[in-house]
Amino acid sequence: MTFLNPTALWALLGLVPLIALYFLKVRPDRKPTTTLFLWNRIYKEKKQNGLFKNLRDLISLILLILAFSALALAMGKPVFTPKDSKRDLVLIIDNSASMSTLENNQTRLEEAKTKAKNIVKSLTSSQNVVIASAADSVKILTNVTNNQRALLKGIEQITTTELPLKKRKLQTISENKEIMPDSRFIFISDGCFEGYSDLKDLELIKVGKEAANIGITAFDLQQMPSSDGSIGLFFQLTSSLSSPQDIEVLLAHGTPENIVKIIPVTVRHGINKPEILNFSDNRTGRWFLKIDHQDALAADNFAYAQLNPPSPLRINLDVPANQPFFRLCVEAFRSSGQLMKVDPENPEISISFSGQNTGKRKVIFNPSGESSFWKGELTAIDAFTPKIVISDHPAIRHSALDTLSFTGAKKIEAPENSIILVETEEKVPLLYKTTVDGTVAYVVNLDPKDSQLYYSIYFPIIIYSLSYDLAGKEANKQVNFSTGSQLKVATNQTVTGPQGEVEVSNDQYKVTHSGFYNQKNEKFTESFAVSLLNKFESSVSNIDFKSSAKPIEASFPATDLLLILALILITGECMLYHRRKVG
Amino acid sequence: MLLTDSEFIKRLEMLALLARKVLNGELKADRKSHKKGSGTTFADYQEYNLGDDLRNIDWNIAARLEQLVIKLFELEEDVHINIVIDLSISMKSKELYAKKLAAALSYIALVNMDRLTIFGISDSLQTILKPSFGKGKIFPMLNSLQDCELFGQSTDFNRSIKTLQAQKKRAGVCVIISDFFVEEGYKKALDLLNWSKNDIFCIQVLDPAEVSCDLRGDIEFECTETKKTKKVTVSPVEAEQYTKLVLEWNEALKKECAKKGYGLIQTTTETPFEEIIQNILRKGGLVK
Repeated sequence: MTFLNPTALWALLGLVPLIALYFLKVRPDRKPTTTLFLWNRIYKEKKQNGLFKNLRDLISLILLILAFSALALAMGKPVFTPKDSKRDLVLIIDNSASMSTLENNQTRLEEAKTKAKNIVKSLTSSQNVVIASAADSVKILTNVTNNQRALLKGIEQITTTELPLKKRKLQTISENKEIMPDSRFIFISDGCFEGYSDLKDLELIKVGKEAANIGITAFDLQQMPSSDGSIGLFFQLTSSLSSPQDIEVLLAHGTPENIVKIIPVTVRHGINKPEILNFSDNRTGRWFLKIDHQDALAADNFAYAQLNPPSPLRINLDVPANQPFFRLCVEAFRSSGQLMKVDPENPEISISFSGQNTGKRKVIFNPSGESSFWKGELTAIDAFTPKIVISDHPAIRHSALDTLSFTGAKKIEAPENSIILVETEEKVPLLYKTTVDGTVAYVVNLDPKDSQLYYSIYFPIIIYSLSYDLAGKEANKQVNFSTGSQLKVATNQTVTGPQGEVEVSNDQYKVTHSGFYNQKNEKFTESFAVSLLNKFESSVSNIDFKSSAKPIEASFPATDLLLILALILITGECMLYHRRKVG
Repeated sequence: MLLTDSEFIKRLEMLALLARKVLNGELKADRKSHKKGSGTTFADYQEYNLGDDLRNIDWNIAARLEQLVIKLFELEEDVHINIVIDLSISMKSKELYAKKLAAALSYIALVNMDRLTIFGISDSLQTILKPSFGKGKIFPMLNSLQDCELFGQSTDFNRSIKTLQAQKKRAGVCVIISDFFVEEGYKKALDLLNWSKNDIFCIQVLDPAEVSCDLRGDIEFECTETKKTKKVTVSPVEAEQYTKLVLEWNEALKKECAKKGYGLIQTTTETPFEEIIQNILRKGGLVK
């Protein structure tokens, strides 16, 4: 037996004044009487209780000493558990989206909290516990404590989220033994997450049963490249129901009530095939997809999508008239998806042969003459082999430029601080990015005509990649996300979501609620949509998920028993005291 | 309140007036006696025996019946009233009340020209007022009662009464004012008085605190006389038993008095003493 708080044993010294006080206390009041002989008669008849009466004061003193000793020992927190057994617990409660599933008029999270509370209540005062919640991240809600009130308060703090559970984060905390050494990690969950069978060092307690649910696991909209103004719709459903269900999927624009399309769908058990369809509509903005079906999990019956108007990259072509392939390339990108367009009036990117044209971002082919973007003799180079320097650079990662001939390349030098992407073995730059006086340029050291660049499959890719990299834009930028996504935000931008302004940390933030979000700065606003869209969270049926937690063995509850013993002894002494004072 | 206060004396005078009215007495020899003697009131006839006073022969009867009979007359004599007041330590809470009762009865006795003696008893007998007669002894009587103090270490009725018997050869009225809480009993003492042809009148004075017990819990009782102690735990059960025992004790006294023909008044100090005196007078006085 060891004492967790041995200093409390000094309280045993309190027995000395207690005993002294007791002897003062038990002296009865002296009362004069004229009828002592009558009292003698009464108590002569009660002689059989004499032994108890004589011992009563001694019993009372012993009771007090025992009660006080029990209290002092209880304060010392004695522990009888062997040292190698794990008695302390880290209770992790799943509060991911699937825990909102309603069963028997209560959510799975409520059931999990009830189980956690029962565990906490069954523990002895010498067992320490940490309470944590887990969804896309693990939050420690209470520090290591044996204070049941604090632990119950911590459990009560856990609320449902719209976030998916990330196994990696869960595994990380269970492997972190520094949280509480020699402790058991118990995870209370419905098992609706990916890879629950691979969890290590976690004991699982299952909540929830097989529930009937149909949910949206994917939803996106895209304007189709054709010129008739049609929109492509993509969505995917999952079902936990064993039999096929005929349901209606409602598509709305602007507001959820503005139904645009009703799509009848037959949903089968498990992940269904994606539904793809086109319909005539050229409206951009907010779109809603709703399942018209009552089921266990409401959060996945609704999905949001943002469809932004096309924003093609504006290109100024300053190329010789006998080079029509540049224009054809840009036009092709315009007609296929509004990715680029020729706009000499307000260009974002200039494509030229000399580099003499204006503009802050430019792509220069076939350098000639003097320019601040290169130095050197500009003499032709003999046979050489192109060598890619930075293969995963965004401007060239989709092009196998070492297969181009780079015919017409000249012997030039790149300015200092240039990023060389392709060069010859003699270190002559063939493709580099440089910045001169605030102007950013890609210099492509080849003659497009002589190198037959126009016939290469990489020609449109080079045009597209170099232009978009210079513009710092992203074509077909993702605007529809699932909850829990980590997004970047530019400096001076604020983000507002369905719950108000979103806290941004280190130019990053996490979308935690379904709905529409806006990123704003002084010049423009970007909108995007967030939905649950997680097939594991929507697959609320958890038949295969089994509890693996061993019974939680409370150690010998010495402290509690001592407190109970003290209470019993004090009650006995109170009865004797009552007898002494009241009779 | 002192026994010699004018207020108290006025109350005694009122009681004396009431006594005169009730008892219809006049002067000396107000009390009838069972003895036959030389009074004026005819009582009975008796056959003449040698030595009888010839003056008492009823010659008319002798002429008619040819037999000598003598007339007997009731003896009218002054009554000896002995007031015996318990002055043991146990009477501490009832001392003044007992003295008031004694004073009232003594006052009436003296006013009625009876011969009064006041004794105090405890573990021995003390004479508080020597045999006195007439109104002139009222103030000495009151002073004596006032000045007398509790004495002794116990209540020894038998010893005290034996001493009284030894001192008082002549029978009279014995008024005993006591709580009658005598462990050794009071019967023998009363029998002694009774055998001596005394008219006995008992006045039991109790403190209300003695009748029932309001104390609870651990108590160390100390006898007021012997100073003996006893540690007890008084619960409602024991308190009830005590009340019952006191009632039984008092009932035994009542039965004993009824059986032997003693007068008895049982009272507590809460009852005004005048009420007790009036009660006695309404019953026809102290004499049987």
